[in-house]
Amino acid sequence: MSLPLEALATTQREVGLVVAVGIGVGFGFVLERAGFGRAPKLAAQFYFRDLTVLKVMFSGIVTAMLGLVVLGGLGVIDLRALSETAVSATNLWPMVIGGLLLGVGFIVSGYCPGTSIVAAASGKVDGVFTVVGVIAGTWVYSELMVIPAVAKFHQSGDLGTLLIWQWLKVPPAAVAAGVVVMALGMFVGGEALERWSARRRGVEPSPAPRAPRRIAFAAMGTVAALGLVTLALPHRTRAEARTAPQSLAPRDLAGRVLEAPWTLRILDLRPQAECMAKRIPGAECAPPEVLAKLGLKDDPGVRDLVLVGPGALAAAPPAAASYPGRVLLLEGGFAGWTAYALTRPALPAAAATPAELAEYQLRAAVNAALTGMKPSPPPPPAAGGAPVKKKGGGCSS
Amino acid sequence: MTELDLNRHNLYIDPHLSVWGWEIAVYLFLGGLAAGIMILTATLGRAPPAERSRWGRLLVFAAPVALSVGMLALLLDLHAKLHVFRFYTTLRVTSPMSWGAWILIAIYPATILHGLGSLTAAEIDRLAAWRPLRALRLGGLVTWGAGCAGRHEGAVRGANAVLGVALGVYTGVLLSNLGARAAWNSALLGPLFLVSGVSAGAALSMLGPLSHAEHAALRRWDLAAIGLEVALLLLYLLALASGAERSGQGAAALFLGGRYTAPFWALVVIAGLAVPFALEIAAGRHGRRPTLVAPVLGLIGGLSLRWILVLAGQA
Amino acid sequence: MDSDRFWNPYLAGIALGLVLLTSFVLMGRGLGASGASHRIGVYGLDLVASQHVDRTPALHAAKADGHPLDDWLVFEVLGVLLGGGVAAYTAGRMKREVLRGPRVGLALRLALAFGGGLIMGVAARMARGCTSGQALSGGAFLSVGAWAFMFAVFGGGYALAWFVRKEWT
Repeated sequence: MSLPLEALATTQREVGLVVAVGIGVGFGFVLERAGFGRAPKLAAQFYFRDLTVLKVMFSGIVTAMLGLVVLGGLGVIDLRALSETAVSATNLWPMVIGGLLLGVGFIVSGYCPGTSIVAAASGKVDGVFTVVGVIAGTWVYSELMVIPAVAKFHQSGDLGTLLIWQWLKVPPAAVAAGVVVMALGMFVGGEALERWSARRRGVEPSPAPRAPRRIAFAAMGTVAALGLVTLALPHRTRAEARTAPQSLAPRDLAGRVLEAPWTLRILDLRPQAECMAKRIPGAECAPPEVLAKLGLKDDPGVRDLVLVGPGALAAAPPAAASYPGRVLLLEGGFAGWTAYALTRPALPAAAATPAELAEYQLRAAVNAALTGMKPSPPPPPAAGGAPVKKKGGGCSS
Repeated sequence: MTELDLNRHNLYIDPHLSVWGWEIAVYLFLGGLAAGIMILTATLGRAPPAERSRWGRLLVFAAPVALSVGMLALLLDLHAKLHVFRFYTTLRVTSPMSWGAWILIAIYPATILHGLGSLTAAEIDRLAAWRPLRALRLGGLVTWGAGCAGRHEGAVRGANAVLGVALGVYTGVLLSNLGARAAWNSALLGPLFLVSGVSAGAALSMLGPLSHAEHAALRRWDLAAIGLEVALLLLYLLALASGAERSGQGAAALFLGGRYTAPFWALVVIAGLAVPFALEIAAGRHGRRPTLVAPVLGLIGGLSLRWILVLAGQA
Repeated sequence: MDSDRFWNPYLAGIALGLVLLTSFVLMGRGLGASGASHRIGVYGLDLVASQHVDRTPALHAAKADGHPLDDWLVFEVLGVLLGGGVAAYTAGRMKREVLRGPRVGLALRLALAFGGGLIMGVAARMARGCTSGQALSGGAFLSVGAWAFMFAVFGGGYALAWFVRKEWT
């Protein structure tokens, strides 16, 4: 099973929508119980009276971040591939200006868009007004986008999908550990600020219960350390994967070419003329001189890279080995492909096992799909079109 | 509706297989609502008058009103509107539609009698003196009806309960009788629509100012109805999915990953059943002041259930 | 009355993070809120002024994404409404009221709530997400833009807080 469950976004979309409701219920429940359904409590953040917003938000970010980093480190999920779908690309200037504006709207309305929904759900009329305001605001911006200058600004500062650890060129766990240290510092500092603010207003600072806080801090620290431990793990495996790419049998390649070609990038390393004459469907011709210019190092690496040589390849050329995603070598090269996919399979014997029969059917279908030839009828007693002609063919054509 | 034979489902004979729209869903919903109100008011009527609220007593009249609005929606859907009277020229024992037409007729006197019986003497006098009624010289009829309902209180309540159950089951049987539609081909639809109707009736009642005792009683009914509804829904899906018929499995797949999965689970199961159930449990256990949230969600869930089933049967 | 007793903020944050992590791991996407508002808003606008929606590219793009009852974020927000309602009710906080500071009138508070929402609607479209979709989800993913956005939100809030202090204190 590979996470995230891709089917929930494609074939089982409807189930994904039900999952969405479940996740939303959890989100709304937690926000309300944290006190985010009440504008005065949220606004108190900006007067140093009650830094709940900071504490909840950073604890949430730290928790999810550590989960991602540890799961990524253990190889359960692929952080890089996931970031392509889960995170919007960075457009620095609109994000900074949008952030400033959102902060302004936050202190004026007392909610952010998400918490206003929770407030509305708990009967707060001001929350309902904010929800309506947000909807109106999205209209307004859509109208403004007609102005070329706004549209241009909307696209400015484009850095693509850029994560802090990619930017700093350090492993994710290191950044995560840094964020945890920063968050813990902010928590301690925030509590000091709350005490200072209470003293200034002449109020007795409310004694915060220590136990949950201690447990929470300890848990965050421990998981961050765990994340650092996984550092050793994925790095070596990733390096190994780079020096010794896995091989891919022609049978598996054929299946993927037919069923999920968008997961592959196939590079044919044979000389240009040979490649131009006959190649695997979807393959790019990339003889050594072209290969170097492809810039595989900077590819996002979402698709698997399949290298096809004239025969079996011993190792990937350096230009291809720098590809950040998975690199696969086709077993037997193009010769192997020809032998498997472009040659008509021999009919199985009459006493063939069901497994052999199934294998034959698959191969015949692959061959038919790739060559455009009609497959021989699969059951063994059949005649016609078979390489070994039997007696009494009947209506063979 | 374009006149459609019961057991035929053939693209080459009926050019439009999707002939039932929102009108039928609304009709089934309001019919179930009326059934629920009849059953619930019949049980609430056993309480001593001191524990009854004005809203709780007047609730009976919501049943004929809901039913009338529902029948109006049905009328909008009928192809030959003027032929309605033909339903009443015959009683076909094997046809639920025919049964339903007669049940609908019986409901009006039963609910109005029950309603008159739950009014106080002062209210009866005021109603009898109400100008439109006086102009039609119906004041005497009102007083007579109230007196009659008072004398045969038990019988009137019993008739309401029985007719309510019949109406609730009928709304489901109306669909399940069309056996060619895989999603409707289930005997469970009758009981399912009945308990859903009871739940909707309780939800509508809880929108108004009820007495504490009435509210507690209705909440218990609603919790039981929701529990039963969940069980029946599960049975319904299981029966479809595990049945031998391919068409039934296809219909179940509509709710288990197919086209209607998201609205069905989100609106009917989560918003319409699970959340009201949780809120009402909290209201009972922690003594929280009841809000309109649970009843409104319950009504939305009830309407969604019928709407989705009507659509799914024609998918 | 226990209406002001909330979860410990750190534990609430951890719970929030776990919800977010579940979303990432199962669905491959983060949480959000303003995106759903946009979809629902465009749907509403389309009912009354369909031609205008078709003429405005940014509105048309949202419309072309399909019916709002087929959108992940809309369903997620439906869940937020339900979850928030259940949490508020079971904690005894479900009540129709207007929350405001001690020195601000009812009408002004509602006008400010709407106005603030309007500004946030603009801001959320500009920044490709709000505090949920951008700061929280993107922040957990350590996206550069999300962190810039988050600090900008706090910056904007603190910068204006002194000027609107009469609204809250």
